[in-house]
Amino acid sequence: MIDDNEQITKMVSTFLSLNNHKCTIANHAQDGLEFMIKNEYDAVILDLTMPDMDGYDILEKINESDIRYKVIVLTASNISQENMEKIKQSETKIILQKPVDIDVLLEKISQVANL
Amino acid sequence: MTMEEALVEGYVFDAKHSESIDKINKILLQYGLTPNQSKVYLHLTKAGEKTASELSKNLKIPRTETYHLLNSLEQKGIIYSIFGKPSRFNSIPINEAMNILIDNEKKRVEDLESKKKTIVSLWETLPEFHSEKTVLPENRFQSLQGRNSILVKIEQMTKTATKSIHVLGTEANFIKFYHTDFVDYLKNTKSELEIVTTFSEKGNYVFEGIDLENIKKLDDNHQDNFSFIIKDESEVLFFVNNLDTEFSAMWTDSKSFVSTLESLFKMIWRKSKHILEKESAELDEKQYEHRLREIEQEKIILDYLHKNVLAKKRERN
Repeated sequence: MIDDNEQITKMVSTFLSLNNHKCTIANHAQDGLEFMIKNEYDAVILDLTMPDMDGYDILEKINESDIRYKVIVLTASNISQENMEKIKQSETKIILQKPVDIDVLLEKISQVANL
Repeated sequence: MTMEEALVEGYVFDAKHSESIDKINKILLQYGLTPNQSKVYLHLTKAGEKTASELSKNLKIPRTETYHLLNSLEQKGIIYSIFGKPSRFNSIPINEAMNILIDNEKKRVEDLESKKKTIVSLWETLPEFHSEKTVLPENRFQSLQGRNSILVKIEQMTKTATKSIHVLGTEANFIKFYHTDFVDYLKNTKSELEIVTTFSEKGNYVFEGIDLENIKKLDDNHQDNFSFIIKDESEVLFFVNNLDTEFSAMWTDSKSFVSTLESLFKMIWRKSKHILEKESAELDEKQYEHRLREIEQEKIILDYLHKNVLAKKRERN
């Protein structure tokens, strides 16, 4: 999970572990990108608005690279038409806007990650 | 053409001939020929048929340029080519050639006259601002065509302004001045600068570099595609046919015209918001909304975790 909101990442991570899933946290986009390159994950939960490098930059870098991930965008921001086009061209499978119901979040993660 | 050149070129004149050639050369320039075109034409006229190669050698002009010169002289109609390998060139007799060059110049003037009609017809589309037949000093008008002429006027206005420079128009109106000194003229004015314009999400790159304090955002509903620049409430440069590719503008110091546009500008300036104010307000609102959603999300997960942790505790007990 790549999100600069530490509270949310900790909570989602705990929530997922309660549901028998492992979650790696990255509170900085650059760290998240490095994890994605070095490791393998069933899915990536990605926030869009982050300082320095944002979620759109990550999606663009994934597109430019050989790595392929099933991405779930989880954001509190409104997405402009222009940015929506960027997302459509990426590996993003689902876009969820915060606040999202916890059951829906779990369902979507399971669905995207084929769990 | 100097005597020395004349000798090199294969026809020998004495000093008095050289003087005549110099005179003819100068006169031919006034008929629209370049010095080298004149040189080639005179050489053919005196020396007769030549190939491009011979001309290049005799006149010491690079061969590529010689071809260009021959081509342009042929297009002007004062030399002709004789097909063959290689092609040879000869000139039309000088009296005929002069008539052709005069006709060419006449056509050029006719072309200028036809453009004059365009300016006049443009002028006629504008309303009359005064009925007096005598033109008062403050009722001068200038119709400007072409980006350079308009830029020169803007430079004059901004440099001589002592009180204010007011600019109104959409970015689309002023985009034609992108990559010119337009913005520098505005930035360097010593008078008060006020700009009301559209402000796109990508940033107002047309007025890039100008202090945002000086810019207010033109209402998005502003449909009128007009723009103008007012100097010291005494002169206005009003752009006409903004959507055309041709640059056209009208400058005037007509009091009635300037005061009408100045009132319009002041009214729009008063109603409009500063870019900074609006952006900052919008940003705060967006940040607040964003944070609120984050908190709600945290609450949802926290509620879930509480319930589950409590449930597990109960199970253990």
